[in-house]
Amino acid sequence: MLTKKSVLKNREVSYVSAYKLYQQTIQRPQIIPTGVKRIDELLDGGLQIGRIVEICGQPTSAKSQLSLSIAVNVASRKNIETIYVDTKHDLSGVVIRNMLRSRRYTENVIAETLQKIRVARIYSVEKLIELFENLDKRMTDKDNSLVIIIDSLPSLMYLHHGEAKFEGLNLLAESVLRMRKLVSRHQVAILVVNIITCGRKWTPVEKKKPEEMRLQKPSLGKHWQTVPCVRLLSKWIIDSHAVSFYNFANQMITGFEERKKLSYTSSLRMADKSK
Amino acid sequence: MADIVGTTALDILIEETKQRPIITLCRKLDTALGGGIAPGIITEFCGPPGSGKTQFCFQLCVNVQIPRSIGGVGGKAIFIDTNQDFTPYRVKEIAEICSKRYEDVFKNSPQTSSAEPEFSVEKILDGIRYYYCNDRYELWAAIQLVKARLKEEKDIKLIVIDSICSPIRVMDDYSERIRVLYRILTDLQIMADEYNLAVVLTNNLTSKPGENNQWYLCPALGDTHTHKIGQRILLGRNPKEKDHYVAYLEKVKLSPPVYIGFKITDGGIRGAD
Amino acid sequence: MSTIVAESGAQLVARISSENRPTLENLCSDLFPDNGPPPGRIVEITGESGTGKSHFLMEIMARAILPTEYGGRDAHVIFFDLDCKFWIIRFLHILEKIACASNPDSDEKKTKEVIEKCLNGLFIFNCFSPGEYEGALQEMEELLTSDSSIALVTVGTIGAFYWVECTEEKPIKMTTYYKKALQRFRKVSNDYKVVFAFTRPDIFAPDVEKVPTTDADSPDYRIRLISHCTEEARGFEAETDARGQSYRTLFNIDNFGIKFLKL
Repeated sequence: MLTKKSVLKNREVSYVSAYKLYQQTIQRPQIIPTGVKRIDELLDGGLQIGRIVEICGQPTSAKSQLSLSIAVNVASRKNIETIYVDTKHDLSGVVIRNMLRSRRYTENVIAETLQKIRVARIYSVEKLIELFENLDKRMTDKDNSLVIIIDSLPSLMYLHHGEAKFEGLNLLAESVLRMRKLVSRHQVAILVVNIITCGRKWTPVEKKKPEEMRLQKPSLGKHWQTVPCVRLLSKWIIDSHAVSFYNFANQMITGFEERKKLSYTSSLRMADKSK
Repeated sequence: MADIVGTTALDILIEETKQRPIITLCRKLDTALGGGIAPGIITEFCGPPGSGKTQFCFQLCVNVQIPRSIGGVGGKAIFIDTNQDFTPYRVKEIAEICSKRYEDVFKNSPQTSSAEPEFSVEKILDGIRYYYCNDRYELWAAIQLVKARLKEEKDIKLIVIDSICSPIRVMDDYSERIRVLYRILTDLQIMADEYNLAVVLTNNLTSKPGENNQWYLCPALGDTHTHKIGQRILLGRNPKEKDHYVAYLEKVKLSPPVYIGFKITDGGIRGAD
Repeated sequence: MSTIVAESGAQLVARISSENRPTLENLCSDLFPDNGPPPGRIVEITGESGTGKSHFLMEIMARAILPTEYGGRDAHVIFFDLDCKFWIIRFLHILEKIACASNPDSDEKKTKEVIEKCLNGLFIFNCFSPGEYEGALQEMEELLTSDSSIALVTVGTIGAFYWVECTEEKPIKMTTYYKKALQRFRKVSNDYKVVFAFTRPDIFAPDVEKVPTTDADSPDYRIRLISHCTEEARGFEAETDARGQSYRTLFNIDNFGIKFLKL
């Protein structure tokens, strides 16, 4: 029972003046470049401390590959920690090693970079929340900045899809609050991978207009839509083998190279033509 | 940070280099897959009826048992059948030819001169545990039984489900379908991680409306299912040659998308020359 | 014969401490063409994702805390940052934009000093659970009593904790939750003579715009933001409904916040 007395007793939050917040903010770099040039342009510089960025797209539209490239690039920088939350056993050490070999890194540097990428294999939302809580308790002002990449959130949330009770929504809301706490109270930036789903039921073409049938929207529900500060949509360009990334907020688009050259031993390469 | 998230990508690389993938006996396919069907990942074979999915399953159930001393995995297999496509006679046929082929290798291999590892037909068939499931409840029960079994029998290195789509597609409630499917896939993934075994599923094709009002064929169970599985190989018959097939590696860890031809012989899966 | 109005001890303290609060009247003629908002009013900013609600809130806050010579109202502001959309660097740019627009002759260094100084008047609460929020609301009342320069309380966003508080055991309708929150804001804004402004994503409690409401549980100003962005151009519109009166204005969003366009 939340009584006024109990709340005042347990109160641990207070306010901070914007001036103090400003002083704290300018002491540390607030933008972490992803290392993928065109994505940094789309994001106005890179991943920002204190913000949640989402990459969504249809399956096999280079989302995981982009997140992996970002993890590798960020891990190569000093003073930044990386945690890759792998919910589908997608992260492969061999793939990363091949990626770094193609950049002509020495074996020593490759091993060092690999060691800097921390991998959390998580298969439930509860475990994800636990991870966030542990990080919140342990992180201090003296720690390096941290980038957390979650690949992917729907992979955990669909375990609760369409449950009669609110449990799934409650869990999503709890994980969102913990994410916000982390990015707000500590030097953390979070990148979340999401998928695009089509509208639910298809009906014969005669009954419904084609546009209605193919309502494509990011999954995870309406509440989630308000959470990320920036949303990037990845898409295969029709009739070609290129992937484009689109920033919903500033509506910039950038393109990447043909699929057959999207080799798994190297990071994403830029297309020569982009919108 | 190390006490919160202990594993690093380097640990994973070391783990991966120690793994033994299950060969398919189609050399080009094995190379593209990085040696064969890798443990720790869910690999799906998807295609129309008669495209070789079940044949692949049989072949892998035999190949997983190739002894360690000659580079194989030396493990046992679990075959969960939801389609009634399992024919013991066909498995026996594949096992016979495989066993004979490796008998020659045993004879030539220096390591095995003293204690010849058994790769006999009886042992192979004995090493495949079979479950038949009528519906999703039985499938779920079978997976729980396998989970319990894995605690005792540490040498199980392959779980096959042929097919994953039959018991799921008949569910009317779309949301429940996704929820049940994800619970199954998550359980399988956890088992694959914990016991370092390979999971192989088969799936069918369905049709879906596309961008230009055209209907096109795509794997069943939807985009949400595609998202969760680790690798997908599409299979189809090669109409030009008898017994020749094509595998399209749509989503595979170590290779860009590529077409690879293969054959189905009496002895099972082989490369197309 | 005057009517006698009873008030509690807390209300008495609130009334006395609020006697000389700065007001936000004439805050921004583009936003409030009726020269408002007067004290005790509630402003709701609603719209789809990505239409600039958080930027609008920042604009209102910026205009409140700047000194009057620099286009502001010289007031203090309490801000509940519940959705982490507030970015201090962007807020600084917004302050710069307003200060330079109203005082183009002032030198850069002085303007910067003034801006940094007025940041001291913005009190930010970050809450990540309903319990923390409740505690923060108590602290807000103490702050309102002790600081009589506070003229504005902002919340970004209402409904931030709804999906944590609405559980299987204790289900709450969105509309009910909204109304309760609004009643609480109304009480504070009446007692302390401050303006309350908050953002509401349009997927949260969408029915409140349609169901009949009383004055106590509905806002005095409802600003609805609409996006008119196409592939070629970006543009937004703000439709304000102030108890029957309607206003429209067009705007754009850039690195310096909201840019109002003349109709």
